Amino acid sequence: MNRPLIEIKGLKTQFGSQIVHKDLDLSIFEGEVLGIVGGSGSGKSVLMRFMIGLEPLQAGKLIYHTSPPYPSTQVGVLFQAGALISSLTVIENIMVPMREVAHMSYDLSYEVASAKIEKVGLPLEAANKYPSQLSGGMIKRAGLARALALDPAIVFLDEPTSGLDPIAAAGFDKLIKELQKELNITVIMITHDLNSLVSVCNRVAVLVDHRVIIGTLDEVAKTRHPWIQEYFHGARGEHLFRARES
Amino acid sequence: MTTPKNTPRLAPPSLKIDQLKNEISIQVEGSWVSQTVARMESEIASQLQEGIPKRLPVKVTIEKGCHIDTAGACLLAHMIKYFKERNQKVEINNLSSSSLVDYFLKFHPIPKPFTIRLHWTTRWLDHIGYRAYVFYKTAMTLLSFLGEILVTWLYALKSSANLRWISVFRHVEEIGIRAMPIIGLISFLIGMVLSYQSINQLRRFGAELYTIDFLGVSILREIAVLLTAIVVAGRSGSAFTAQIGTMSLNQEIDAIRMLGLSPIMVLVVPRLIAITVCLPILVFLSMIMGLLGGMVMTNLIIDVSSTQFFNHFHRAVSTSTFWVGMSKAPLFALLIGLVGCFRGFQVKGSAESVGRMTTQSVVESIFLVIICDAFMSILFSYLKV
Repeated sequence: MNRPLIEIKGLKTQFGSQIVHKDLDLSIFEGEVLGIVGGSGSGKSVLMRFMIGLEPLQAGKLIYHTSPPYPSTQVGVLFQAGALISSLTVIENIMVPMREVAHMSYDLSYEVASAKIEKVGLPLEAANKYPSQLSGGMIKRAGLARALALDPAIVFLDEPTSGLDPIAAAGFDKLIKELQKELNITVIMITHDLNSLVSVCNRVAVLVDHRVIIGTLDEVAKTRHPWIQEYFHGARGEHLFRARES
Repeated sequence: MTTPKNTPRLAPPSLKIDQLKNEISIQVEGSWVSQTVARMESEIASQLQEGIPKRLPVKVTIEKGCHIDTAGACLLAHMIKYFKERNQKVEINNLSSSSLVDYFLKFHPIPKPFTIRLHWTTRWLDHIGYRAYVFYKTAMTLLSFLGEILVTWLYALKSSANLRWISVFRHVEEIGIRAMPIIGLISFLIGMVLSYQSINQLRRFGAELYTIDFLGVSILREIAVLLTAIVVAGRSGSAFTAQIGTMSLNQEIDAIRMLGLSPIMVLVVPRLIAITVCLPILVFLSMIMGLLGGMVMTNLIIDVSSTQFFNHFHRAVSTSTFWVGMSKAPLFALLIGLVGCFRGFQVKGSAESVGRMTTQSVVESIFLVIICDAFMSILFSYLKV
């Protein structure tokens, strides 16, 4: 197997007396789609904040095997609520990293941003609207377009399908899959959505007992851990597996 | 830190333009990615300006190992389009290695929003009409808001159990007690400044002692109440708007409504009661502190003892002067509270709206307070108070 792109070694996190992560190891490889699941409060979001560098690690190591070591322009993040800047239109939001970080000219960034809008499947009228005028699904797509603005190699998605109706969610899953293939990016997504796990992810990391259990979906689903069994083989999970087998 | 082999460092993008006998060869090399492409933008522009013969066909070769991302492809497509517009033949080699360039060759950016440039008089009229319409609409909504508050207030007066006393007291602390230091200090300083200036002017007539008359009348009638109202509008009126506005963004107002409660009862009435109770008290404090400041200044400059000051003051002003100033306080309080809460409920959509409404609430409440003060002055002079 080739060298991991991102490596976490011996991560330890503690808030007050509550232990969140303990001796957590995680390797993420180039070109994969990794789904991170776990119960509420299991530390998924904190793990992501560590990985994108918004919060310093309490103990342990986080290594980016890229050059330069932490390439902020090569990491795109889609936040849970989109986090579009509310005083800018959608296209201006996407142009921000191009103008401010890559210092492109207005016209070039406008054209590239238009292409991104088309790519994430936003209607063209949405380009000049403000985030408050968009629906939930459109905000997520706009957020994804902004995350992809500089063609990053690694994209983090925080619950990309939460709050979307099943049709929009399925559409978003499909979009992520297509974009991943087309742009050959590494995707790390936190999700609660079993459908996304089944349809998009190559590997699944489950946060239980302060650590990760990682593997392909089938491998993880076979693990004998009460939470995992409940998650994958509970009332909501089982039919997905049955549908896949048939 | 060592650089791993599988992710090579970005080679700078470059463009080799060779003018051959019967064609122009352009070789594209290096990494044409977002981070590096901005530099190439100006370079391409300058190279194209240097003059490339119009007649000859152009052959663009994308070298192997050349890394092109969306922004790079867009820029290359621009260049190719430039030649095509000049009716030059363009041949592209190895285009398949970057389907993105091909994508951009056929791509049309989203049209920018269409704006009509009107003559300035038309625009001016349009603007006036629009503002007038907005003003009318706002006035109507404010009126209905006032009506809603009055009805709710009557209901609250019917039985004191309907009122939220805890909320009222919390706001009294926030609006009144916490504002005391700042209002006391400002009033004290203003009293000092006013008396100093008037002593300087009145000294020319040898009438320094009349500073006390001037100070007493101006502070009691106007300055204390205006100063306090303006500080409270900035301190508490803005807080009302921001609090209620943020709650409305969080759908808390909708939740309150759906729980069967009235947002006016829960949010507006306690604030209005608290501000109407607090403002007169703050005005009283402001009067005392302002006069105290004046007393200190007269004592320091023209050596008037506090007993002398008090005796002269007693003769100079009547109780009606005090009541003229005091009577304005509850009215101003209602204005500030009303505008603050009203603008809070008008917050819609985004965080930006909270900021805009808060600014508007402060500006409007101060404006209304001053207008109202002017009308009251006319009224009092008509009544010969």
